[in-house]
Amino acid sequence: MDESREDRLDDLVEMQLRYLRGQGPPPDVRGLNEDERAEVLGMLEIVEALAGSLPAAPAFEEDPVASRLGLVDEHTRTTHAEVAMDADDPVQMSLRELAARFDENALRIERLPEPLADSAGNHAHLICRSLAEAVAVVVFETDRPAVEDAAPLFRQRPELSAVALCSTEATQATVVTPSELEPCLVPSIGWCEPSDLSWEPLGIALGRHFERSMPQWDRVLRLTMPDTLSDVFSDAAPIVEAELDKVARSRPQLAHKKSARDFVARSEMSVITDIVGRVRARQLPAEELTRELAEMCEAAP
Amino acid sequence: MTGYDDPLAALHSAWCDGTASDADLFRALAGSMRRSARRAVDITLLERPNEEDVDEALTIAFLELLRNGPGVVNQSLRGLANKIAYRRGQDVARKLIRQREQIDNIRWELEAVTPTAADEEEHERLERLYEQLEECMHELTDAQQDVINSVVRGQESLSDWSSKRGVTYEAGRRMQSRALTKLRDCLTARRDARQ
Repeated sequence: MDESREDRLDDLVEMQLRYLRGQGPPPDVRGLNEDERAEVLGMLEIVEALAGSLPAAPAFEEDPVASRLGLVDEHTRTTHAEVAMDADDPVQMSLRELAARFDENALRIERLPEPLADSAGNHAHLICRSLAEAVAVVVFETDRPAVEDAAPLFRQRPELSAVALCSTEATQATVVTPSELEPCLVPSIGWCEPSDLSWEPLGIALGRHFERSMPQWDRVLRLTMPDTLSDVFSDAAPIVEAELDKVARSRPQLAHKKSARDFVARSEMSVITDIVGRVRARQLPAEELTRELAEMCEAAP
Repeated sequence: MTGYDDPLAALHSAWCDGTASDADLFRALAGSMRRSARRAVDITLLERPNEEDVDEALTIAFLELLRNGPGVVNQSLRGLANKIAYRRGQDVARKLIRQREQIDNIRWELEAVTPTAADEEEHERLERLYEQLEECMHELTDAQQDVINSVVRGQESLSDWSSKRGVTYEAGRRMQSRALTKLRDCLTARRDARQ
């Protein structure tokens, strides 16, 4: 195929991709002869068949739609996923120790239905799940993988929050998040490429990662509720006074509005300030507030 | 009948007999329905689809398929399922557009899915093509597989893909072109072998 024809075909393929992503019109194949049109349409059809086919559908037991439809019972899901720990596997033992550090069921170790592969040919068979995290554990045998080797796993399983790269002995490990695969902009420096990885034992590297994201419920429970509205009461008096003064100076024309103005003008500022304080302190529910205001209106001359 | 065999004919029969469970149907159809729904959301929403939106479209589509029952299938169960998933993907995308633009006073009619044999055949044909292409992916080099998976099957732009791999955009484009040409040649070879 000559170069110009090849370039034209590449342009049409790019147009087709943009069209299938809703970013442009469909490719224009007018002006092509019959042979060219057949070739182009065949290629565009291939692009259409492939476009958007990743990420792949999750396994049945892990498919959120299957769960939502009630097609997967908890027993099937658990049985399929639970890992029978191999005591001879340092990685699995390290993960089990890590899970034991947290509250019961806060960290679950599951076996992936199908292994995931990084671009260096290493595989992940296990996934660690917590409330907010799903971390695949990739085990490498010899050479340490680079940070970009984890990219295919995030493409295959977008729900992964991180990938742990770990040696077979679990002595060298690091945790990679999707953001670390991208260059970042540091205002004082400029664009920075993904940084080099730091390596430490699996329990430490992964443990630190989960500790950052695991909710600290016990600390939340020990917090005292601050009284953030404590100054409102002292501020209420001048605010009420200003509003009452505004109403008293108004000149309504309608009779019922004049009555309302007169009622407000005669009201004791201390009574209204007291109501504001009790509402703020949640001592006056809505029904009682309505009743009190109604009684005030009825009692007014 | 247009002359092709429905690969899920046995499942369709079991569904008609009442011996196929909903889970059996889901297992067989979820993958292709999800791809169809994602394609529809992608092309309608003008942006990368959120998988939760695709999940929603798939859920609605599968329930609709169950509700319609096996009797509405003309000739391809999978073609019908994909057609429904595509339409529901469009609906989910339109609903999102409506919400974002707060268009409450315009009534967007849900497109009624009136299954036709032509619709089923079109979606079945696309799904078969996809299956053959999946098999042909093994003929590509690692780099060619990567560009197809990232740029064509995924949502990465060719310029981003090239930049990450430290090659020029033109080099990335040539890689993509060669990969697609190899896939096309593989398909042609398989068709010729079958004839």
